[in-house]
Amino acid sequence: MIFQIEFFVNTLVYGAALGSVLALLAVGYSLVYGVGGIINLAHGAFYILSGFIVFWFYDAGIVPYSVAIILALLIVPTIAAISYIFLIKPTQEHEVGVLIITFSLAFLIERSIVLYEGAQSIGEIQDRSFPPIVSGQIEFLGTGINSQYILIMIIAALVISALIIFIKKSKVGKSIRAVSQDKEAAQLMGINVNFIIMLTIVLSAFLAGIASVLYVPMIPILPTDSWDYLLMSMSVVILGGLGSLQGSVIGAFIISYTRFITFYYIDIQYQLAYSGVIHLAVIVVMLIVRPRGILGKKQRT
Amino acid sequence: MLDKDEIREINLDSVEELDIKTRRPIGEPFKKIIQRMKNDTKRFVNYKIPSSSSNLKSWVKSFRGGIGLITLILISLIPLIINRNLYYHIFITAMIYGIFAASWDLLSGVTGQVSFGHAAFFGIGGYTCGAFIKYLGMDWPVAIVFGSFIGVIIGLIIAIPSLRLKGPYLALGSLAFSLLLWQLFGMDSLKDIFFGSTGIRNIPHLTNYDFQEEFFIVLIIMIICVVIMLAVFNSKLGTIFQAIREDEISTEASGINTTKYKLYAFMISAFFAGIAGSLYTLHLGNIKPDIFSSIKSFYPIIMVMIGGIATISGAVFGAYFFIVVSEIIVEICTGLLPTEFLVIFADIATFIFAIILIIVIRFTERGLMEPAIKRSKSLWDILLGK
Repeated sequence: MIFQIEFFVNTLVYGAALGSVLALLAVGYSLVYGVGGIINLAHGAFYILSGFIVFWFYDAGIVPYSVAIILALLIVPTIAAISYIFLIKPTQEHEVGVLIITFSLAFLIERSIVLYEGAQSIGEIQDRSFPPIVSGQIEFLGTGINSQYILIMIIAALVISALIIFIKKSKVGKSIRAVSQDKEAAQLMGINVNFIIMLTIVLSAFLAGIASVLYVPMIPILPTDSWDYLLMSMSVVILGGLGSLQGSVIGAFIISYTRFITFYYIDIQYQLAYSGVIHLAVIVVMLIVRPRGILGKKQRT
Repeated sequence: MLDKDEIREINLDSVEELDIKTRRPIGEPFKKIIQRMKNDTKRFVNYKIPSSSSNLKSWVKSFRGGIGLITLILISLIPLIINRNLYYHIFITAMIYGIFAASWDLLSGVTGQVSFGHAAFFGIGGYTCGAFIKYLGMDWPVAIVFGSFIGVIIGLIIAIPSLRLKGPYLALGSLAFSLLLWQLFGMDSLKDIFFGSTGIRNIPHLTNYDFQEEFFIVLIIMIICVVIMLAVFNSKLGTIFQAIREDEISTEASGINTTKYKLYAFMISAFFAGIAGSLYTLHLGNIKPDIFSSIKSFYPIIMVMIGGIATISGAVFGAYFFIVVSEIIVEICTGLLPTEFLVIFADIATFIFAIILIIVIRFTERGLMEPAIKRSKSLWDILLGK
């Protein structure tokens, strides 16, 4: 089976696409934790919320498709910022309090979607979906691949490189790095720590939105999938190292390819890898063996 | 436990300096705290069974005992007022979740090992109990206990890696584990071992759908479980659990094997969660993989937050409050909205409770009831003329 070129190409491409999506998700997640020390359990919810918002606007036909995308990319980060100001910041001292609040926020978002939509998926049925940005297929090594996948990889690469350049070179990026190294010292240097942390949360929601807008037309989502994506982001970030962006990217591709390789090359009966086993195993093993992750920094206390 | 005034009284001037040669790390005030802990445990170690009449009298007079007794009597009288099966169902569900929430409180509130995946124990208890009854034909009391023991074993499997995880990582790990079980038990390709997405169906009911009889059975079981958990809470074991929560390093330093006691906490909590899960399965007559869903893990958190974290009885109160108010919300919605929205009423209730939970956590530290309980306590004392 390995030598069937179609499977190989599929694995390569789908793995890269999911890897790009996970990279976008994980980079945001890792950024929020690295800078603010916040573990955002609502990250998966942000992802699916973006998808659903695009779908609602597109389905209602009020606004053209591109505006719907822009709206989603604006609304979800705003929600993230509001939830930071009112929910996360006040409970920042209690680590567990933050967890419970983001946990309930994730629930809130998921339940609101279900309330509004019913527990139906988008993307599975043709008319309950929004179209991908580019349609059509490209020939690659003899098989057709939806061009959207290529677009996902290109945009993810661009966005993440832009983010890394932004963090390395710009003044705000310097503030972000400063806050991630030492919050109090940064505050003493005149950096508005709260604003920086809020900025990272907004950025992470924005990245999740981009990932969602690109990927949802190809892979359908249910409202309850928020936990699935959260689990995936968590395992990628823990594998790659909390607080390390490069590690998240590497981890994303490792996890994505592991998932697809086992999906294609292991017997259907043993498709355990397709379930959360891989992610759980990664989380548990990494947390025990090397909580820092592959490329992580020293553990924040 | 010590309250704030007592702690302030401890004289910090009497701290000994560390002797370089012998390196005694424990100073005087710490010894005093340990001594007080021992006195406390000696006082409360017989909380469970007020066997002698003098114990019983003083227990009733105490705030918790009095309110507890009144509530118990009121609850037992409920079957006289209600005759609709729906109301029985509400109270039975509330009691089952009460046990579940109390078990979560014991692990997370008292011992500080916050677990976001408690539904794992709940579901495993339910599945094993259902499987035992349906496929092995056991009687339900045996099945419940056996199911819970299997739950304890699974609890150990979860606990051993969790020992090394602290705080948020433990919560994440437990969440991940329950999500894993959700997927595992839902996969149709593993139907032979894990029953697939339809779960186990047609499990014979506890009392063959005589809800009134079931009400009393579940009530008695709940009382037994909660009393045992309260006994643990007030005993030396409970004090050690609380010490682990407050400062694990000091506890370890005073010679207590925190690993062993954390395992105990997981085991006891998993046992009672398993009992709750078994009762749940028996009540519904079937079990589906949804029992592992994240929302079931969410329930005990919010119930305990409402009732007051680290008080076992608060969990039961929170469970009642949550279930009853959810049902009230559903009833209100039934009156207000057309029936096509019927399916989402439960979601509306959960939605509202998620908001409540957010507000509760945002504005209080230890749960909603604590200020209220403090005021009621002083009121009670005044009433009794103290």
